[in-house]
Order: sequence, then C-alpha cells, then structure tokens
Amino acid sequence: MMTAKDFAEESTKIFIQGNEYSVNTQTRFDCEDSSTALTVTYNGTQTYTSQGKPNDADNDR
Amino acid sequence: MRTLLITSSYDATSDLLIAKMGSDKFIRINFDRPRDWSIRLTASDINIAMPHASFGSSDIAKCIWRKPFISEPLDEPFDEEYSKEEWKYTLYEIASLMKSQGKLRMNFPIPDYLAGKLMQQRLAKQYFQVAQVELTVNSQPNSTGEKIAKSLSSTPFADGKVLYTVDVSNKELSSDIWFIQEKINASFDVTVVYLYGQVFAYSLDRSSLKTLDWRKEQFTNAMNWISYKLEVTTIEAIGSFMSLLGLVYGRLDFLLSADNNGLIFLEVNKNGQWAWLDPMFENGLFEAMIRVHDPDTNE
Repeated sequence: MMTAKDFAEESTKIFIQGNEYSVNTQTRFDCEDSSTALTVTYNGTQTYTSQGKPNDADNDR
Repeated sequence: MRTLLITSSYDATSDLLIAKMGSDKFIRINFDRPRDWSIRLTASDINIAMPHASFGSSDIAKCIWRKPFISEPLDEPFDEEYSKEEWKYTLYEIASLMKSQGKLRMNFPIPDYLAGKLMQQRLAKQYFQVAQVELTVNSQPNSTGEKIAKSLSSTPFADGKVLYTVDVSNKELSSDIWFIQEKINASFDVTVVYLYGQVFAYSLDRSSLKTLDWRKEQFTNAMNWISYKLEVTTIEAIGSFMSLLGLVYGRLDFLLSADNNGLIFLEVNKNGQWAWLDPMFENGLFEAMIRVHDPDTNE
C-alpha cells in the first residue's frame, strides 16, 4: 500500500539574490537590471517558495 | 492617490510592478514586516503612517490582495501565533474595508470551500470538457487504468517534501485521503489569464517535458510558454464560467488533448501568479496588469 507521502519529493527552488527590503523603494529585488527582472519574474512560477510555503496555490487562508 | 498592496516583502511580482510604475503610486503592507507602518483602523476608516508619510482612506484609490502569507513575521511579538493571527485578521479587515469602499481590485481572498476544485469541475462541465476526478477519504481509491494523484491544498509534509502531480496508474494506494484524476493524453499545457474580461493564453509543448508536472522542471529545463490563440467560443465560455464563479481574475489551467485536440479544463487558480507569462513585458499581459494596479486609472 502506497501513501501520498511515499510519492512526495523535495520542492523545486530558485535562488534569487535579494537585498534587504527597503521601506523607501518598497522593494527587495533590483528589478532595474533586466536579467534580474527576468529571474524575479520566474520566481512567480514556483509552486513553493524557498521557505516551503505554497506560492501559486490558493494559499490565501 | 495610491494603490494599497497587501502582500509579503518576498513577493517579487510586487517589486516588478513598483519598479515599473514608481514607489509613489503604492502603499505596500507586508505581512512579514508589521513594523513598517503604524496602522489605525476603525469600522469605516483607515490611517497608515510612517515617520514622514501618512495616508487615509481618501488617499487610497485601489487595493489589491497579492501574496501576504508566503513569508511570516520574525520580530516579536508578531512571531507568536497569537499576534500573527491577530495581524492576519487585521489584513482581512483592511481588504474588507477597501471592498466596502469599492476600491478592491482583482479578487477578494476567496477560501477554497467557496470555489474549490470539485466545485469548479461541477460548474466547468457546462462550458468545457473536464477530467474525471474523485476525492476519497478513508476509502481505497480506484487507481485502475491511467490515473494521477494531486494535492488539494499544496501543503508540504512535515519533512518539507511536497506532492507534485504524480502517476499512480494501477498502484495499490492506501485508504487515506486522495484526490485522483484520470490521466489525460495531452500534447500541450494551456494556461489562460483572465482579467476583467480580457484573456491572455499561453501554451507549453509537453514533448519537451521529462515528467508529468511541468513545475518540477521549471528551473532545469528551460521552458517556452508561447502565446496561444483561443477560439472565440472558448473565450466566451471562459467569461461565462468566471462570472458564474464570481471571479474577475484567475489563471485557468487546461490540457490540450492529443486525442481530439480539444481543451480539457483542470482548474482555476483564484489568485494565480502571472508575471512569468510576460517576462519581457511584450505580450500585453504586464501592460494590462499595470492599468489595473495604477491608482490613476478607473480600471
């Protein structure tokens, strides 16, 4: 008998170089650089964040 | 005027919007940074302040609920469950106030029990081909034939592992809790962003994938989502389906059947991520989102 846990895997992750959050710019990532902006955009494809939180699921509870 | 973003400081899409549109168009409240602003909220008004800036209801034109709970507060006492839940409650109250003032754009955070996966399937049947699904609890699921299993909530296990969409065809499964779907012989994934009647559709050729779930390969196998032309009847069906669900925004996932070339509805994510579908800001999606987020437009 296989359980759901038997099928579980490590979640995919993407590492994005982030700075300290700035209350002045209200941003963390340097989106002015086009290559960073592209990577940052792909951050949104993650199903789970680097902290393991569901990212693109209906996680608004 | 400003747009109030309720989100997390790790929400990169908000960073992109702010970088493109200017910080002076936004008030960004991050769930993981409760000390950034002083907030006073009554039943009918709000004041949000920091040392050199203060905003009331009349300064806020729009409010958008992004992704507040993808990271958590670390500073005391907000790292405690009590304060964390009080703070979470507060964010919902702010969104509710904004909704009552007609300022909320996109969707109010909708719990799964109001538009869950099975309910979506039930309503989607009126408009699309759907995959057969079954949810079993304390009952052995039928895995005979071509079947896949999915997570309902996407919650990780205690060890951090997660259940991606997985092939369970003819496997002997435990009598626990399972969400099982018939396996579709699909040639393309199709994802559609619906935004106040506009649709932006994209497809991914599944022949480039090594696994069942494209999300597992997204950072190792460069994937190429390209714009996809929907039939007019499909666009109309999507509009009717979203109206029935009461959604003004959503990202709908389909499979393009290799057998009959028809679209098969899988689900709609009510607060789905979208920026990765227009990474070079060139296919109109990002521009449409800017108009919705801009406090100086009526969209």
